[in-house]
Amino acid sequence: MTVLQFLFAVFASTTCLGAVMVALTQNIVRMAFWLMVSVASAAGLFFLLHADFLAAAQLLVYLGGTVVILVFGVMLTAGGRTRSLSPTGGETIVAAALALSLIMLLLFTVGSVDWERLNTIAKTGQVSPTAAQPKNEAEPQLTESSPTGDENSPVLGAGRKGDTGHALGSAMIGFRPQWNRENQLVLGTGYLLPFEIISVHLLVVLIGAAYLARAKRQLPSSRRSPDATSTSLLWDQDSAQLDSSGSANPALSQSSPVRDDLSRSQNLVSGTGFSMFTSDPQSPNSGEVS
Amino acid sequence: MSLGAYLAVSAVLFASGLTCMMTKRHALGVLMGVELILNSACLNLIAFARYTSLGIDGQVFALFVIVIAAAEAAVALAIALNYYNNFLTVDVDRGDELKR
Amino acid sequence: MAILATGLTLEQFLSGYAGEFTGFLLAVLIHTLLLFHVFAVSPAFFIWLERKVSGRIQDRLGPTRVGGKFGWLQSVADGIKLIQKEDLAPAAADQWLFRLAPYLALVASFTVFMVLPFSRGWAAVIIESSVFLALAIISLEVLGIILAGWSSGSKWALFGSMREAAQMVSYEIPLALCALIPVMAVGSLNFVTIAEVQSGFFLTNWLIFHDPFTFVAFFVYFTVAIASVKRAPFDLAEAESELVAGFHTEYSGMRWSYFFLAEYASMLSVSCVAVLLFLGGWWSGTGLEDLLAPVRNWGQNFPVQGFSAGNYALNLLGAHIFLFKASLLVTVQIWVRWTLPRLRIDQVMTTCLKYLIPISCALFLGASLWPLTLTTILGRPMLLGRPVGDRLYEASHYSSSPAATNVTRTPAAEEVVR
Repeated sequence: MTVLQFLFAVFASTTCLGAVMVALTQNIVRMAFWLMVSVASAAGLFFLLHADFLAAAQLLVYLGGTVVILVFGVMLTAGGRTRSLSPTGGETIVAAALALSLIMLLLFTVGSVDWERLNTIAKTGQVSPTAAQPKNEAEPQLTESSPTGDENSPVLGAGRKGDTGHALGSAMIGFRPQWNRENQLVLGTGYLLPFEIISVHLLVVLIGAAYLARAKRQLPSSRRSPDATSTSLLWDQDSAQLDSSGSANPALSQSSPVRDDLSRSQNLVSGTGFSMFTSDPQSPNSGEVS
Repeated sequence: MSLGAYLAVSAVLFASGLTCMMTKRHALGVLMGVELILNSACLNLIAFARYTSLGIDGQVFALFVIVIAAAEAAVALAIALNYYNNFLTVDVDRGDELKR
Repeated sequence: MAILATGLTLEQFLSGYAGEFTGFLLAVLIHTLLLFHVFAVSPAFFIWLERKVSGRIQDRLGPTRVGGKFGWLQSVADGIKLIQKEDLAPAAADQWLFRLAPYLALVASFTVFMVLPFSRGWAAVIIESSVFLALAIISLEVLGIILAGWSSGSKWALFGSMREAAQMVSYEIPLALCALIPVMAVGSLNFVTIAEVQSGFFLTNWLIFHDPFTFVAFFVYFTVAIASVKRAPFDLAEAESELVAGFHTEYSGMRWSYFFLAEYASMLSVSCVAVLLFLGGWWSGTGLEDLLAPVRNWGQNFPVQGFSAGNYALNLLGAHIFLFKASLLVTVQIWVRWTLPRLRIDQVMTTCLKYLIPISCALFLGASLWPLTLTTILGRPMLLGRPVGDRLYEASHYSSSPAATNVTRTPAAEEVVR
């Protein structure tokens, strides 16, 4: 057993363990913990695959960002009964059967495809009749090749193994030298445009998320249901007019758990400062509709 | 190590993520399933970058996947918070207002 | 794995004698043990230092009795007291996560030391993206703290960890931006390269004096670093006047002390990053190393084959200079803590989102335009010191190949390298 195989065994087993435990655990915070284990071990696998920059990005973005945000979200939405929502027995059986068959299918596919031959086809651009082609020693072997670090590397500008930072940066600004099929060095198309698009995308996401998650203090629940408890006298009049004009949806005013939740959420949102304006369920407003 | 071993790990990640998405009723649990699936795609891309002639392109794509995953998590969290504000729960099965 | 004393990496050196797998395991073990000493001993020193400094600031003496003069055994006494305490977990807690969380914080703050070089080649792991990796790992400590606060089943702990999450996620942005400014000046994400560039005579070679923007960036970085290790005036996560003890309200005994240890180790690690990025790494800035350079050739293969005593001695000197500078920065953190009052949580967020992020963005822009402007006007990229490019050319020898100069390799290890 070489060092690489040992490290692969460690990281691969913890990655798989974490992923499976995420699917099996019902407590949401423990799920976040297992997701953390899985993602961190996957970063270890990235190191083994000579992708140092990506491994660091994975740790920074996934672990330091996404998982923290998820746990933060759990804290913000922890409303007593939501800590564990178990699936029913039937759902579990169906999901387990589906998952097992999917994993069998994927593993069978991975095992049955001749990746080496596909790689040769991709490199030479023609389908060779024989699967077991004699390997040219100038070509990187399937199990040996690396995007960086050796003389036959398809990536220029990369130094030692795993040093993909420079190559990634050059590709992002549109400079991507590569070997073509005839073993000539050509300047490939870089990723400047995708890079710019994704930067704009991130900006849009930043604004969009801030917009979606902003505190809605004024006119709480204006669109939800007209008969719900309202938080200001002004709004009471408005909704009364709406109700008298008959535009309220009677289906929504049916007594349902959702409606109860809505009125409670409005009480929460409006807070104590507005509680003196909050009408009780026997108010003329809600009585009119029901 | 060979390409197949990494692809197998990635397959396990993908299947777990999909199961997680299917079975979890917690909105953020579903989100974690999505993260696992994106992670498996990332692992696949990097493994192909290492072992085939895909080269640096695989890593560039994996980087884009990571960025997209972060963006998706931010928006999904905002949606989950809105959902919680509306329904006072994060159980995705309760969001069936349009059915009534 | 890194060069410890030889021209080879320690792993290669040991592999030459013990075989590949055993050599690897031995190298990992040795590096871990050495780093663990830095990790465990320095907090003991800083805890004692904090007591003395806070005492002096408050016109007291601080500990004086334990261990004779200056109370230097105070940290050990604290440790013994903490070990004896009962390890409690509240009934409302999520027992499993509650017990696990301190270890997560501990592991995250320990792992940062893995990528920090203490002297030329003295790092456990030398990779090209080490600055990026260090920033990533620094941001991981928050996970242990959030899980601790959540699993405690206490509202104080929950409030503390929510504050910590909000604070850390926000302060990561200016932290990374300020760390990027020296990275951009050098053009490398490697700590070793960045530190080697700052060698030689005089202080102007340090990146903090590279241009006005890096000078300001250092102070912004240091402010943000204090916030990211949740020290006063940014210690909202454990604001003891508002939330009993914040996220570690429910912890006692050893598990509590793990959080304490992690906090002091993080203080050291962010200071180490600051020293490497801005303050010249392991170089004294006086040109002393240039005078002593011939020493590197002394004592070739002296105790064992492949070991250079002179090289080792100079590296040891460098490590002492490095740790001295980092300890000075930690002392400043302690000084700040006992001088400034705690901010409110909204003030903390305002400081970050409305001031520090725009400032660091402006600094980033300025630092990228400065060399271009200066080259256009003056014909040279910087005002003081030698241009970074020249120094980078010289430094590339040390950072790109792990082997130091003029060191013979052991024949056995040579085979492994091939």
